[in-house]
Amino acid sequence: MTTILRHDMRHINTLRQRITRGLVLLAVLVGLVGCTGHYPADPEGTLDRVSGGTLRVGVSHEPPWTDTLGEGNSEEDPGGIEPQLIQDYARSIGAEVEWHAGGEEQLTTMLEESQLDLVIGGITDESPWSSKGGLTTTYAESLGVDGSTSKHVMVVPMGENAFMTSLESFLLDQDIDKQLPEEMRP
Amino acid sequence: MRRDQSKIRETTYFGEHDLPEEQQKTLQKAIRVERINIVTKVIAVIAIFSVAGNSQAMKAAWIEDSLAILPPLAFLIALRFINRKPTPRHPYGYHRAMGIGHLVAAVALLGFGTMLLVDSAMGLFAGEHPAIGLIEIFGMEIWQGWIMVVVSVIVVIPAIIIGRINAKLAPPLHNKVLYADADMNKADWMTGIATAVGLTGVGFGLWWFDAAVAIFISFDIINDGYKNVRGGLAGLIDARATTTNMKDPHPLIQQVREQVMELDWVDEADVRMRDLGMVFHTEVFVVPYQGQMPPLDEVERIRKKLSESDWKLHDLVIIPVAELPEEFLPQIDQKEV
Repeated sequence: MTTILRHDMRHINTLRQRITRGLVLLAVLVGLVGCTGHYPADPEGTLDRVSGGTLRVGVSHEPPWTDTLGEGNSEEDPGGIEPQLIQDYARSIGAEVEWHAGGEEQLTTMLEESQLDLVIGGITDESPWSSKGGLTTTYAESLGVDGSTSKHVMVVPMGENAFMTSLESFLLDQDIDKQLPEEMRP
Repeated sequence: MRRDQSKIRETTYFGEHDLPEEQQKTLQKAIRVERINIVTKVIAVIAIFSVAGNSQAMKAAWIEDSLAILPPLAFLIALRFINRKPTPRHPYGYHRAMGIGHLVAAVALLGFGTMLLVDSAMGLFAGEHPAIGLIEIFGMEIWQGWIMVVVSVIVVIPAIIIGRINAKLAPPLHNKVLYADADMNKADWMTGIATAVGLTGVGFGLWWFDAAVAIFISFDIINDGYKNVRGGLAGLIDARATTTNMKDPHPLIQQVREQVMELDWVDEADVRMRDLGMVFHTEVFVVPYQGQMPPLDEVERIRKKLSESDWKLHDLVIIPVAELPEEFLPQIDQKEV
């Protein structure tokens, strides 16, 4: 019986130590809030860098979401729903947009290697690129030709959560359904 | 529930072992706790599964919680078996079912810890930065990290309570499945708190925090799992009976030996005691003084007295021998006494 009691005591002691350790960690964390301006924060500081600077956006041709070939559009100045949204977002954080046209795979690889800050191109939440970047929350839904609903997202650098939530917050406030062609509205 | 009530009134038997009242009450409580345990774990798995999305960390969390269903399930199933009486085909009864249950629970615990370690270490070395964005709930934009923190913390509450109750119930019932389950619940709540703390850290931009906290905790869980697997295997290969926490030799070994040695017709004696799961199988070897056996009545009286001195000792035999078998060394080292 005494051995069991002793075991219990040890248990309680280590528990107390653990709780103390946890509280110290929490205090350290709270101390860190002062250093960074954002919560959630960016490990690589993407939002702070692009705000008032340059937002490097990869765009892959996928009308009506993105259009790099149509009339009045080019690879340097793409049109479509998403480029318009990004221009508006960039203006809201005082950033200049620098466009990079390409295929989704090439662009997401560049995103993974920190050569881009964002990839757009009618990408949905079923995208296979979720291992190369973080998929934003669904900001629009569209109806496909086969009658299935697609949930549209953009791809941001993995773990840059301040930038991600800043963009998401902007996108969620937009009314995108109205910009969709009639037959694609859900 | 009504059936359980009627069971209390009668004596509960484990094979041929009838349980004292205290153990019966404890057992009924353990059964209730483990049933509630399973229900809470199933709810936890569903809750985590539904908020997990494509988050790898949360996926690991619900797989781990599914593993936590195994110990209470093993306990309840094993209990059905050990209630059976011995049959000609199973002369020792079905007590080993609890030993198998302990091994199942122990392996689940070890698997839980190993999974946590491997999963977190791989994420850390690959430099995986967890991407956690916003989610819109009823028109409100909330950081998904907070949702995950809240779910992990809520899910932890029953695990803390059940773990504490099980740690108390295990020793009087001498039930190591309950003991392993207490460890599993400890692992469960520690992981939940770790997830919450880790996600908060990720929010501060410390992308490695989640994985680091998980690795830190996984060592503790692996240690518990290893201890239980060892204990479970030891029971199944007939190691000497130990206390429920598998640390010390069971005091009954020494007690029985001392009681026998006190008899004036006994010259030498030793006890071989193995743990069948919840109850023991005990062989008492006695060398009668100057080879003079007492009347059969006396031997029978002692056997009854010993076997009734503790409910775990009901399967006890006395074997008179000319000298103690050489290969049969004392189970207690002198330094352990």
